[in-house]
Amino acid sequence: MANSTFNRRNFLFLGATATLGMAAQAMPVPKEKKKKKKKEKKKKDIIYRTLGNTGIEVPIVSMGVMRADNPNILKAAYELGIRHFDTAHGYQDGRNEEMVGQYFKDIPRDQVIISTKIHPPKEGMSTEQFLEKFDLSLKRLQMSYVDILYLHAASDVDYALDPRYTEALKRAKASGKARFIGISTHTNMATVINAAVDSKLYEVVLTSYNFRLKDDADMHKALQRANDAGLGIVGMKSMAGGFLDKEKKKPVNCKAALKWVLSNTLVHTAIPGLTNFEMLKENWKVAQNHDLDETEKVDLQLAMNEVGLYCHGCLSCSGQCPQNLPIPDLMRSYMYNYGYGFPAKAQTTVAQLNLSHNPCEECPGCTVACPNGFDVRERITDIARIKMVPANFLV
Amino acid sequence: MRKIFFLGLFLFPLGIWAQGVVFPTLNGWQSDGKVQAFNKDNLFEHIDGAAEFYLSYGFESLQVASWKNNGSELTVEVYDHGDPLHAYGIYSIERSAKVETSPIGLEGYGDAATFNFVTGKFYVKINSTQIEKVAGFSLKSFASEFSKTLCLNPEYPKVIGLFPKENLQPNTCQFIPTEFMGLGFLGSAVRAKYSLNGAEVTLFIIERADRAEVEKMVLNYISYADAKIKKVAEGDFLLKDPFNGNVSLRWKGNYLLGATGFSNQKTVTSLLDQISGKL
Repeated sequence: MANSTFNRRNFLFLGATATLGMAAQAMPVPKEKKKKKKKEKKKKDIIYRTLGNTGIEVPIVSMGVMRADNPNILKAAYELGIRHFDTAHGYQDGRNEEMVGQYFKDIPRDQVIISTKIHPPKEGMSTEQFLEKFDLSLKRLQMSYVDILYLHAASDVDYALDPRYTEALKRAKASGKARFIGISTHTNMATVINAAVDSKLYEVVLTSYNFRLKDDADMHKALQRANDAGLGIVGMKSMAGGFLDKEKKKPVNCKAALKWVLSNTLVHTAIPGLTNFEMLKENWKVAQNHDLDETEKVDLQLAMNEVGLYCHGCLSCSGQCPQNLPIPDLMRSYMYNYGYGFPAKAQTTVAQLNLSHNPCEECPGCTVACPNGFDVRERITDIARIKMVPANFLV
Repeated sequence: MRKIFFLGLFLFPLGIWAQGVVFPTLNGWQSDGKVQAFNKDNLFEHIDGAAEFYLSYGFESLQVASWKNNGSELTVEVYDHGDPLHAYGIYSIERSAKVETSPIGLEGYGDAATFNFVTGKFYVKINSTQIEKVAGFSLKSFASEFSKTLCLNPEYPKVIGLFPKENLQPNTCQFIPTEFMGLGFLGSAVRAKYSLNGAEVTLFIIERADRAEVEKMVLNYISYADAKIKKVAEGDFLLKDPFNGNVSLRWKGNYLLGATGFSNQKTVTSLLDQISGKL
């Protein structure tokens, strides 16, 4: 049996000489209320926010159940004070919903907020098939309703507004089996969120959101728009994949990353995937205080500096290359491949540039300066080769 | 069953899994011949939202092929998890305890429209629509033939065979790849449930490369449980885990055995004795 080395508790430990100041400076001033939990002896204040117009009030730290295999973690989370638990029809082929149902069957239903998600297959499904899956989810959950039913993993407008699925969501709500309906998105989030707002159908958005999106103006505009429209916003993927490098040797400071997300009041709660008790306890502390301390600010600042995979699109490299290579496009392609794990898109982008498979070979050195410190030549040499990979392997 | 050509059947020796996946030609079915391939970086494109879980089980690659036949559709997904234990792990964690399994590949189960099985390092998921319209076609038979192209004579990971059979609840033997019982220091483990005197007891086996790793694990657990144990040596321990309740542990060489959920430690001791006897 191999002992996995993946441990989210491994914090990024770097020198303390970095520049401070990144933190959450672009974020609105937090406006939330602290509550003393009623009927409980604990006096520690927990920060609550309201999920838009749903009126659902939850601690800012919730729980993504996906990777939990142990109902005792659910028990510990509930006993700590976590109230919102997120699962999906497809997680562990339904066993995840069963575990949630098994634990919460003895808890008063109105004491927890349960969400699940239905993910239609690529070839699509009918409204009836969607609802059949949802009924199966309810059966597994041993519940007559869920609080939020999401259309799972939207990455474009067509999928988000597919009438087969929107009709299913409407029917689920009308029947009382779903109190509120939402949409989840890991990719192309700003577009999906804007579509959700425009639809006037969705009430909650579950979206990837993390420090790597600090300078994503479209994303922040979309979040603001969704808030203005009264949508609840639930954050996920707060750890941005957990690592800063493609070799996965530099783990993210998870607690700092979660704080960064929740320091933006446009995000009402977050669902970190909690798989062990120590992680649970660490994350729960954020529910009482999401202010980044100096060490965490340093870690995130350095993480931002380390985020060599992510091109911020500042275009300052544009026009610098003596060979007139389209550097911004190539850096973006590199990000698609290594940052987003989207090699097909990277290949398409590179192919459109009509370059050789090693466009830098004529140059003895590289004069292009990237403000984020990218080794531009190395990245171009790396990503340009993607042209040679058969497209079949990149679908 | 209609004629199926399994080209990969003779491409590898007994007991070894195939190096590559060769999808069959199905008479009467149309295929565009394309096989979709996914790796660790883009698995999310196929199973967005669930990819992270598969990655935790050592996922390496996925190949997907599909066929059509007058409105009926058949899709086969072959997940390569690198080794038989991780493949068994993802299969076992997705398998309901209520299903009836059959020896397709190593083991599989299904219904009228789906069939999942594990064999060697591969976890295979077969999905269909309107398959009943295809006369003479049996998903189970198809799965059986296809499994032979992936691995001949698959065997359960050895650790599975260590669990006593008596009182074992069917389909509860599972491999957890990391953070077993929510405890990071325990790492990976195999667990199974038993019905003992009306209680549901979970038995687990943790195997490590050397004795020192197990010793470190035991020391960590003792510290975590704040137990007052002065001298740590191979043998039995009873710990009060703040989250998992009473945990009976037995350290033997490279193995840490244990049980939770018990009311009578004697019955647990008997089970641990049975496992110890096989080590």
